[in-house]
Amino acid sequence: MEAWLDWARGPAFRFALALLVLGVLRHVFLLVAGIRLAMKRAGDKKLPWKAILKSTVSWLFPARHLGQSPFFSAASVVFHAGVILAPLFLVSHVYLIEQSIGVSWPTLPAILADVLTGAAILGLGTVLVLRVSSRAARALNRPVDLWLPSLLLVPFLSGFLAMHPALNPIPFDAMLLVHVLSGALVLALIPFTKLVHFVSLPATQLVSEVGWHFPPDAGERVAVALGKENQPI
Amino acid sequence: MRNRRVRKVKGVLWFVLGVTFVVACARFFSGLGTVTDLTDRTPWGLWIGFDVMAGVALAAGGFVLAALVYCFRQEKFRPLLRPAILTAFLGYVAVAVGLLFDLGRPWNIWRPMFFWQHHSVLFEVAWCVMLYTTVLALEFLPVPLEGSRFHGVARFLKRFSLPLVILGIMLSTLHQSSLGSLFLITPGRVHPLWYSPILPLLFFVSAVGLGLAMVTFESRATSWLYGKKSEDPLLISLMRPLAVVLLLYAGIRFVDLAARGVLPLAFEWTWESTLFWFEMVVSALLPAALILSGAAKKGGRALSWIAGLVVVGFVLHRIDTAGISGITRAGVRYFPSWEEIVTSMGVVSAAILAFLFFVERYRVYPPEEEPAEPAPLPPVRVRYRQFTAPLATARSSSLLFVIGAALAFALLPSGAVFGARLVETPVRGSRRVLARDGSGQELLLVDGNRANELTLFPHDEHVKRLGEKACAICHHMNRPGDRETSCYECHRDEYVATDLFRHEDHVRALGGNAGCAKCHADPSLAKSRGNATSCLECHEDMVAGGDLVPKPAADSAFFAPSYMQAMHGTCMACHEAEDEKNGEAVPKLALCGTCHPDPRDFEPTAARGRTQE
Repeated sequence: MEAWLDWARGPAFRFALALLVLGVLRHVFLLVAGIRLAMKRAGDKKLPWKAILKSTVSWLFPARHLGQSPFFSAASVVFHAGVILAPLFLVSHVYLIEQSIGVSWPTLPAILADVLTGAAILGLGTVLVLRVSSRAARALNRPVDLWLPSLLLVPFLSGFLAMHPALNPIPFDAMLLVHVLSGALVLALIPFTKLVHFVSLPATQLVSEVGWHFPPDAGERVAVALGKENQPI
Repeated sequence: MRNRRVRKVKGVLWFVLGVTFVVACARFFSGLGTVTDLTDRTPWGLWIGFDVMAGVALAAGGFVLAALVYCFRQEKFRPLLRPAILTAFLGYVAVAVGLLFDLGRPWNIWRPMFFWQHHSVLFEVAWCVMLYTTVLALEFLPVPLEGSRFHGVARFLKRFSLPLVILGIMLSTLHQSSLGSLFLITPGRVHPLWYSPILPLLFFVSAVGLGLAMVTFESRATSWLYGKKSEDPLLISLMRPLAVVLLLYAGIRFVDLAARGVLPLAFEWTWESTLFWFEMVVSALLPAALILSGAAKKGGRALSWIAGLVVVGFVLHRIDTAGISGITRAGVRYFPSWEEIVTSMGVVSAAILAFLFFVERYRVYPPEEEPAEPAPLPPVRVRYRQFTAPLATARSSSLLFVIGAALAFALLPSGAVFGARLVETPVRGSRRVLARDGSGQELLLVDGNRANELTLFPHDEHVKRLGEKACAICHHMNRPGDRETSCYECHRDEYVATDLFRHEDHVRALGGNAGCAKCHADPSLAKSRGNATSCLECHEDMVAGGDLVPKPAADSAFFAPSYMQAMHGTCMACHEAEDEKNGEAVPKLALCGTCHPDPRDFEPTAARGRTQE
């Protein structure tokens, strides 16, 4: 078991980490290139910075969007807070990072970490339930919308149980192995699934602003293609 | 179709580059020892043999073609000149990059510019390569500048074409041969089938042949890749000079071997003779025979095969001379690590990608003539599969780069990721031997790392003098159920402290998950060694009293010091005290030489090989 754990914490985790960092950088690079291409094709000279910023911030703090389905939105906000804060500021994670690269930062008190982990698990569970139960959401569901949140549950549940040996039904090392491998899998999947929205959010706001322009002479080109030049439309 | 082929080739190159990127980071941050199999005995490996020696030779096409066009007035070869010069330029940049990888202190690479060492062949090579790379840059610069705002500069530079070409030929002649001269000072190392006083001449002649082959090969490769019209007629007329050069090379080589009287070595059935014949057949004999038999006259694939054979053969010649031929004679074991191989591939990949970049952007190859009358357009048939998404090449290439880099990061030894650590030297127990004086006394032969640094330890005598009860002085800590655990069973490494704590055993003994809190008492702390209950709190009598071994501190109780430290500590502590007490009366047993009488014991041990993961 210890050999497996060493493998999970070593090569497997390093693979996931490299995929995450470089994969996200790749997205940033492609987004910038894509935006430039879109602007060139649309003949735009300037980026609508303000509109993008406003839209991004309004989605980061979705107070205005709460009205449509408040319960769903609140669960989503709670889930996001837990998912981001709990792993980043957990004392054990910060300790591991300090051991390997010597960088450390302040950590959450144990009780707050437990609360945030619980919030992440409950929030995620609620979002999943609503995804299945609401008819409108069901109509939009793709398989990935169900298995990805379910997968995301695994590292949080296993991590919580590993931190609380009294509640843990299986051997500690086995639980830790599940935790490390599922965590690595989630990190590795970030650049290849919609989880990448944590960097691509501003760029996706652009679609409506830049991407959906018609180029200046688009109408004429259509007319040429149809062989109906100089004819009234 | 063509688009997809280009994308596939670029994808593979970017993948290799991704792997190389991570290996390069490890090489420059953690050091040579963590990613290479180079040692003090084989400091020159694949990176010198392939990247530098073969790299310079592969770039010889530049000066050969320039000489053909400008000096021998063979104007018809002009279409091949620009790609040849571009290859040469990129080749030399690749050589410089490869050298940076190999140099132990790459930041000192500028030194030959200011600290002149006239007696060194390397000094001459350094200057020539530096100057020739500059010349090549000036020769190629007009191409990217032609259509730009700086076309004036391009026109200005073109006026100096001829002097630049002559300077380039001169510099190439100098350093292509000097790379051979490098090995003149190692007659004991290079096998006689390769070592020769005329190595410089052989290197130069083979560089000319290799230059011609490279020009052929890359012209064929570019036509295949971009689906453009091939330049076969031109390439076919390059084949005859190539055959002449190859036969000249083979002739010189055999005459030289015969004159030095080592030709019989080639007919002894050894590993070197096999290698020699393989290299000769592939590099010169087979391609020359193919050309003379008329196989090249049809053009097409035969050209690629002939050029490919020459390229492989001469690259092998450089690697053989620089390393492989010396393996048996120098008695070294060296095989490049996967990191070394990948880095060499990565440098080549980067050069190829740069080549493709210039070919796509600028007029490296003459533009294809437009047909006078445009062919009638084929009837429109919409095939959606032909649609390529924007940035398709960037997407696939960058994805493969990321996957390659992640794979490399996972596969790197941990020493390369977290910095080098000391090599492990496992300890083996002492052996019982009989004293030579015929007394029948049993001695312990202490030589933990079996490095023939022997110490005879009179065990019985110590037992007799100190009494049975004093066992604990040395056997201060026994394994459970054991009474005289040998030193090496805990002090398991000759020079490095050993971790003795076994977490699994404690988990089992303390009843699984319920036992965690026995050692990790504070739930608000990360479960680590640093804040766990100390060993000595539970195992109060873990260490026997009255022994000579210093008590472990509470936080280092997990670690047994190295075997050497343990032995020195125990023996010397006692003998120093005894020596003080006895004065001059008895031999000074606390002095190093008493136990280690052979001065060779204190020589640094041989290269320890690759740093431990």
